Amino acid sequence: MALKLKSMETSTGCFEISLEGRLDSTTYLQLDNLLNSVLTGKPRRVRYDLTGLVYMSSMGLRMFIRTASSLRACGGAMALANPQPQIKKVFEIANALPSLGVFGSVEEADRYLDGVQKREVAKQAPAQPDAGKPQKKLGF
Amino acid sequence: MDDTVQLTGLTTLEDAVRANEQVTAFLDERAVSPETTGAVALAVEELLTNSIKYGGKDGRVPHVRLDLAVTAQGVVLSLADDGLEFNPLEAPHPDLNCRLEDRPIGGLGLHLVRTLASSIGYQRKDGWNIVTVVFGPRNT
Repeated sequence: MALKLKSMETSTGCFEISLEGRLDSTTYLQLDNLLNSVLTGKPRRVRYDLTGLVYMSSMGLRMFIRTASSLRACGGAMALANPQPQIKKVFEIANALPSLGVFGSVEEADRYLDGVQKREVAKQAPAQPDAGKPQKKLGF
Repeated sequence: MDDTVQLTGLTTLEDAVRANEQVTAFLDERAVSPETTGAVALAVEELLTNSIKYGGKDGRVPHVRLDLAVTAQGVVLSLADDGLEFNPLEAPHPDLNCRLEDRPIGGLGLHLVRTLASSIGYQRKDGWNIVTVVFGPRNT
């Protein structure tokens, strides 16, 4: 069984990638190639839909680590939605669940990414006049 | 039904992936639990790709032989290659607590195998690496 990839840019810098089939030592190259073009544009978010992924080896896992690292380096965020138990187990063993952002459904993953984006927007908003001023030191 | 199988002439990554699929079909037919089947299949890919990618010497890809047996004690996977000496039991464990982007690339595959297996044995005999991996008792 091969790997079927679907990728869509839903708005500027926001990608949805769905995987179906096997992500192994040979098929990972398809995702690697796709990431070469997606990540060059410094996307803001990438949401993977893993519902149809039935098998993943360490080469596959590396593709998600690659995506997460690349996004983090440019202030973006990644989320993985709905991995089947055998896929989730591989993430667990690699202790990658907390840092990769794995969610039980596409909706949860999107809510998480919306939240991240809102925080980013708030950070970039002009600061209040007094905010960020160092507190007056007490002179003893 | 014969409960053992041998695969030889495994020299490419495509062979490794094919072996993984053959092993899955073989174990499915013998009513081994999906969890054990998944673990064995993953180990087959990880160990085979390691031997094929890194075991070569003098510009020659090693010969690799895979034996699989379904026994009362569990599924016994034995992989033999005549490549560079490599003892997976002595391979360093990856640091799973550091940030994902700081992790070295290697070691994840072996870590998956070590975690999923009940036991792993290694011997170097007549120029061959022989790795024997046992996975839980049948149907558990």
